Amino acid sequence: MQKKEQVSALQISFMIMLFEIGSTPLFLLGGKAKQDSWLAMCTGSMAGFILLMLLMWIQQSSLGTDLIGMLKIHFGRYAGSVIGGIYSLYFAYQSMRNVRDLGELTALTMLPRSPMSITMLIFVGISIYAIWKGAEVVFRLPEVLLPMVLFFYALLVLLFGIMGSLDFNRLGPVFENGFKPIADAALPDIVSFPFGQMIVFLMLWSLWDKPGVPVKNTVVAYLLISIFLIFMNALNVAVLGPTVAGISQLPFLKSVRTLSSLKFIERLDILVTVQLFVGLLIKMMLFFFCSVKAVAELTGKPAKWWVFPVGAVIYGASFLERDYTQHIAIGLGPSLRIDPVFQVAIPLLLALSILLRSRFARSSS
Amino acid sequence: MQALETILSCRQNKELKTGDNNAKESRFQQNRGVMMANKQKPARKNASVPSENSVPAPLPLDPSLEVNLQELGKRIGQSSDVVFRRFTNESLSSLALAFVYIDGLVNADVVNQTVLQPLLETVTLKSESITATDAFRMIKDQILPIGGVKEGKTLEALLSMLFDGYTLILFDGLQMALAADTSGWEKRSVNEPTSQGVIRGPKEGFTESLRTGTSMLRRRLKTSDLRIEEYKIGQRTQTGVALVYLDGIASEQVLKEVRRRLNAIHTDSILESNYIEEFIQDGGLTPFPTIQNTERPDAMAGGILEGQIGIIIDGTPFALLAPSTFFNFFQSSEDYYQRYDISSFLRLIRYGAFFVSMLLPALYIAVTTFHQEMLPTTLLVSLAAQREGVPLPALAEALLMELTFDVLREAGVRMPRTIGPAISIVGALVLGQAAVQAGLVSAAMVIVVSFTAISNFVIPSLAIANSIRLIRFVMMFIAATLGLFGIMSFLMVLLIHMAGLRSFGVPYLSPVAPMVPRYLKDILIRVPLWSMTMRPKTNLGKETRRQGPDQKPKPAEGKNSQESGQPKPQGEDPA
Repeated sequence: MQKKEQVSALQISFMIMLFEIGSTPLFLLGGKAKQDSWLAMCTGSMAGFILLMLLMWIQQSSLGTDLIGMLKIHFGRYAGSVIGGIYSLYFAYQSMRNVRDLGELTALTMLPRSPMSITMLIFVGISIYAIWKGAEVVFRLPEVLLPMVLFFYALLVLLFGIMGSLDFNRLGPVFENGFKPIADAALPDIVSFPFGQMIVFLMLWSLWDKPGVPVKNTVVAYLLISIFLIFMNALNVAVLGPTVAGISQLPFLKSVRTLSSLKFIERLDILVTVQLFVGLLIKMMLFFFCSVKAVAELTGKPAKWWVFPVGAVIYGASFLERDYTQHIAIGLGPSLRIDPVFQVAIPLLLALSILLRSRFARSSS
Repeated sequence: MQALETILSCRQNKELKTGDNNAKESRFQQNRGVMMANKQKPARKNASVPSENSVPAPLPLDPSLEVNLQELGKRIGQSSDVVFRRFTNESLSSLALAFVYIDGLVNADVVNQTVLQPLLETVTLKSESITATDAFRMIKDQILPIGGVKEGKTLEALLSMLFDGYTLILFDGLQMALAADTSGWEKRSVNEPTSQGVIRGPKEGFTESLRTGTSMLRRRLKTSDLRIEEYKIGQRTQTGVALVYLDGIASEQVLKEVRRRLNAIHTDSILESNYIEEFIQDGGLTPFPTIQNTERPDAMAGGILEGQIGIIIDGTPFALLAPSTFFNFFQSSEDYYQRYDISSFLRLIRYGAFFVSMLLPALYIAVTTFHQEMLPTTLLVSLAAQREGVPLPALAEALLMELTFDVLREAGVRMPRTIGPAISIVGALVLGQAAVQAGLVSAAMVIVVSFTAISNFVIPSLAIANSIRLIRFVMMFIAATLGLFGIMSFLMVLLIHMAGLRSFGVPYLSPVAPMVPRYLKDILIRVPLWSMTMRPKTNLGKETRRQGPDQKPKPAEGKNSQESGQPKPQGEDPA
């Protein structure tokens, strides 16, 4: 335990992929762009990539520190700590959103009669257990889970292909209303979810066993998973058509339910739920982990000390929203508006500060 | 403590009566030393804790043969299998000898022909002038035609040799004794392993003898790098434990840790390898084994060649291999004796069987209780029709059948061979067929339980098969309360648990998590041998070459055919 916990570059790339998958394929992002939603995804992912470049540059120029340390260096001890605290809350909030997502999803598909408080408690409990075991264990999970999740997705895609549910003509006409609606749908919504959430890796890159950022692994993982998400988005539209996909609550689940003409297994949505369970769990766990790490660093207490309090806060907060409608409304409304502050504005300020400082340092020397 | 003191004082009293002055003094000192040593330990403990009846401090030999023999006799008691044999010729010389050995531990022929006969026949010994020291040297260096002759100066050292089958030769007037290796006792011959059979591959298994085990490994690994370190563990059993590894391939770090843990074992008895396993394994509360056991010398040699450390224990044919990862338990030595394609297929089947054995009853419960919509309608209807008459809920039904099977299985181990067929009839017909016809359980449940049971036997390692036998029950309860969500959650908990587990410092899920892609060649599948060029350093050993770089067989082409005899030596290539 005296040794600093370290993770390998491969583990980071696996984590990025699984984290970005999360619950994303569940929803039709960029639904406002209708059949061009996959183009909106492309745009979002491109914008996210620029953001990722910025984040990597920030991490490269402040080696060995994570977001909290940087904030303290660049905004002063007090202001930095306050912003760090807010970040910790933000991470906890994101984590709580995933807990609630899962609670709702479970109630919707698997256990309609079990109280959500129980399922969410179990969910938070699993995360507490993993985070209690430490970063090394958390980062080992994707190495087992990601191949499994990808295998299941591949299986489903194959089934869609065999069953003839896919009709890529539904994706046309491309650019029906020009680029404007696409950009509107992509910015800032798709950037903030899921691509902008890469901000958490500003907390995690410093765990790498070498200094800096595993640039190649990060970029490759990001690009691969972008392609995957864009493909899944296009797939949803290709199966359901833009109208149905746009209005349904969980379009991917609906797509998979079209597979019921298969004689062998009637409904594969259990398979989807397994994937989403894993995706949501990892996403939630990582936000939770970052929140704990941030608080631990701000207070100077060991991370294990904070696992249970933060877990309790997340669990408690997941009851604040009255129902699923409100949960979605907040997620698509206020939540999307504050995301850019944390994902773009503050990193930009950080970058500015780093630039100024390096200028200053160079001119003084 | 008091009891101990009285015993000690009794002993002193006796000595007052019998021994000469010298002996008395030294004995007194010795006893005081013993008492001191014994006092130090229990003093800190509670009075209620029974004092440890530990081995007394070493007692040097007395110059007087009589005293020594008496002391020996007192230590061993009047055990009928200990043979004391005097060799005195008082009319001619002052030289007096005595032999002590344990009947049954020694080979009687060897004792008679190589110890007794030469000594009795040698004329010099009978001459008047010879002193005890001369005789000692002469016997040791010239007379005994035996490889292993040791000297012993303390009674304890001699006793432990005596129990190893040595014949002790005690001299009058000397504080030293000889011990000749005459060990030889009834051993089971080398047989086919009963628990880990193979179709193709060596058919011999370890026996209860430690020496047989180490020799089997020596015969397989004819390299000077093979090291065998021996320990004696267990105060009363003094069980021989041998650490076997390849120097330079096994990790020093792991070795140090194994040695440290072995030395830290402080126990009365080691009767089987599981005693050692429980004392040295990581993660005391995990359901998963972190040390492999095997009956097969070839499997052990394979493990040692990959940098594992073998531990052979005297008295049991089951040897240990550590460190072990989760995936080691799915590798069978036969994987390497068959073609790689079928081996890979079988290995995938094993992983499948692992999950089936762990999950199938739980899935059945979850699906029939919570997620009926998952099933195709026709299957659902027939299932519902079967379950119509069953009075029990799915969980109770599954528990009943699973427990029944476990009872049958345990009975199968215990019952005499002759009534085996009777039990199988009872098990298969009465419990299977009749229970369904009586409407106690549904036919589907019988299928589920039997398939689960059979799957459990597919896994090559009994250790991990047993661990999932228990996990299965937990899984069933969880499935009955939370359905698939519960199963997934519990699987996740198990995964987190396994990701955090280590075996002597090696992550339990390596090389998958943490992942080393080039070591995945022998995990889920087995690639051809010529493709596994590097020895994985999963076990924290060194990554070294074990096959030449270009070993894929291909037809010789014209010019190359001449040098294709053996392009590279097969041995180690440290680069």
